[in-house]
Amino acid sequence: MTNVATRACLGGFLFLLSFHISASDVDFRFSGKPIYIQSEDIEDDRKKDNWSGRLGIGIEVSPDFLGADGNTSALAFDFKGSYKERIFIENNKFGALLHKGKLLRAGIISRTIFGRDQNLVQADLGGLAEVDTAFELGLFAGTSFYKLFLTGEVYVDVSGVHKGFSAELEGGYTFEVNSSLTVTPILGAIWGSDRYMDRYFGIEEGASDVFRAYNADGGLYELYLEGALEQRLSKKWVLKASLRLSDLQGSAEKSPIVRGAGGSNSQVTGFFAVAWLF
Amino acid sequence: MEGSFLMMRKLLSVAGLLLSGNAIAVAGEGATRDTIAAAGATPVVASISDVTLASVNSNLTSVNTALNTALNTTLASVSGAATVGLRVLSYNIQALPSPLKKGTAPLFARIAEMLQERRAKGTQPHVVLLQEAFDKKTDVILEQAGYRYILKGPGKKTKAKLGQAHWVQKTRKSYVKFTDPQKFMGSGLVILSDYPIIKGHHKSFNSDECAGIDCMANKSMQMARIDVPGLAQPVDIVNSHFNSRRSAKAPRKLSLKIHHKQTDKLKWFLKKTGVGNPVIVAGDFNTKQGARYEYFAKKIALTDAGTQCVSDNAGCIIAKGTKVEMVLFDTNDKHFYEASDTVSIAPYFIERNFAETLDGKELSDHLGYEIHYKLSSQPVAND
Repeated sequence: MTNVATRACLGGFLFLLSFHISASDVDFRFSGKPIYIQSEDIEDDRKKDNWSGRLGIGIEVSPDFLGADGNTSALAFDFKGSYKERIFIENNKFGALLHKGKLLRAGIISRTIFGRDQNLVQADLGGLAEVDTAFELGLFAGTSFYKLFLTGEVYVDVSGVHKGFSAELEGGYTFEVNSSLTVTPILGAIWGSDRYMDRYFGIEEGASDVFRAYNADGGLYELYLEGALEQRLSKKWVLKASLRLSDLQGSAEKSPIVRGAGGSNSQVTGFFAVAWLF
Repeated sequence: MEGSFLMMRKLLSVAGLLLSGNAIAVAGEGATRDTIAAAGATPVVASISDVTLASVNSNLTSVNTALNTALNTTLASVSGAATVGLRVLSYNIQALPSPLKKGTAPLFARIAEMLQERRAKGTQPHVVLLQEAFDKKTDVILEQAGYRYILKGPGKKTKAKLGQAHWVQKTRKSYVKFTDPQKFMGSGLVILSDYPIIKGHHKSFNSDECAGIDCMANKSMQMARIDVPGLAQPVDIVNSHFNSRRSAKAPRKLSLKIHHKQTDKLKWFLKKTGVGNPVIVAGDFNTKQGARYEYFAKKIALTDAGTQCVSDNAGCIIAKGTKVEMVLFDTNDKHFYEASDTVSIAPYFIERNFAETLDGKELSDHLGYEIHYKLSSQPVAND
């Protein structure tokens, strides 16, 4: 055993000696400004596709018109495509991302919004005229911190349908329930200008057999709470669902359209679909 | 001390001997870094529980006698091999920026001071790998610990360009979703070296290669190619900090999946940067969980220095106060290594250090993990 011990000592000494010799050229008492070495990034082998998006099919439930009591369910398609994450088309919206910062994204956007279908309103609204689908241009901006997000959109009508403005602000937080399921509660609010509000909630003199004339003022007209769910089925497939409960406010709530037999200040919108991601 | 060296030089030239890399059981008791490095008795061997060689460890005072005796025995003779020692410290210094952590400046100053103190004794680690050096206040370590060469890891702006944040919904307003990496802190990685860093590389993990709040830091890998005097080849030293488990606040399965992805990326990084040099991979790999460690160790296929050191016949010693589990499974900090065709590498001393407190505060929530390696330009022969 002693022999073993001495071998250990010897090995240690010899090793130190060897090291001592080889390291003798280095001045370890350096006290100057250190030299910062430039580091080079290693290029990733992965290539990102220019195109990405999703294509889905499902069921949508929505009010017959803004302020309606009744809902209609229908087959709905869900499509989103983006090119280099700059140009995008997403269902009824089309736009371009112009600013892509760490905390802020912003760009231009356009959308179509459905009005009032004559077939749906005829019975409930006493012959009130239909409202055509409007085409709007606008700006969007969004900020995010980790899983918390806040987005805003402002639109102006360019189709002559309502000739007004509207703005939407919403915020939410994405909970990761597990590795494949996310649930996002969202709170939102929508504001409309005088013209916008008057088009959807106002009634011109003599326009309806059952409603008196009503002039809707601009302002905050909708608050909503939404729950969005996304269940990843596989790498390429996702199940998604959302349910929005809205409460109409201000002159929208006071509108005869909303307060009448066919109207309601509570609005429900839902969507359930299976989508393929590409 | 000098006399011992002179005597040793003579003995070496006469006998042409070099240390044996074979294991000799040495009790951990009494073996400290200073007695090993400063007293000139670099123990070559380790055992964890054997206390039968206490005479070797009691400051090795009779080493000259032992040496003379040993010279009469047959040891491995590897004439012409250049063997050098390389002390490598990996240390997660938990330098989270204010307001996440306050009152840290004295802690970092103390770490710098401790490295200075060791430098004054000639026992400083030659290479220091820092993790979580997020705070600017850690500059005191970089500037005052006495290291000549510094390689900083990626900052928060050096982003990975690919991938998607895993929590981002694909269902709503994707045009305003922050699918690109959103980093608020840099990588926190720094390599300090006494020896010249002749090449530096880095790669940040993509944003789909992180989970939970760890994604807010630009977690990365960095490699320093270090020209160690006396070696035929430079040594590639890789530093990284992997995704944490519980503190990431991410679903467990996702967290594990992401850890595997990061492991795959490290393997890729080693392949991309490797040029046949000996390699040391150290850092905070968050591999305390068995499933993480198993995948990691199998994937990167390097030798775990801790495992090697505590195994029989490893020729390595564990410092006093360092428990075996602190280098094996009860740790997220790890060292791995791989020899090259022409340079062998083996650990000969391991210590978990920087355990002191300052005004009742721990210097970090991690201990330092320091390993002294011996590297030989030719494989060390067995006796």
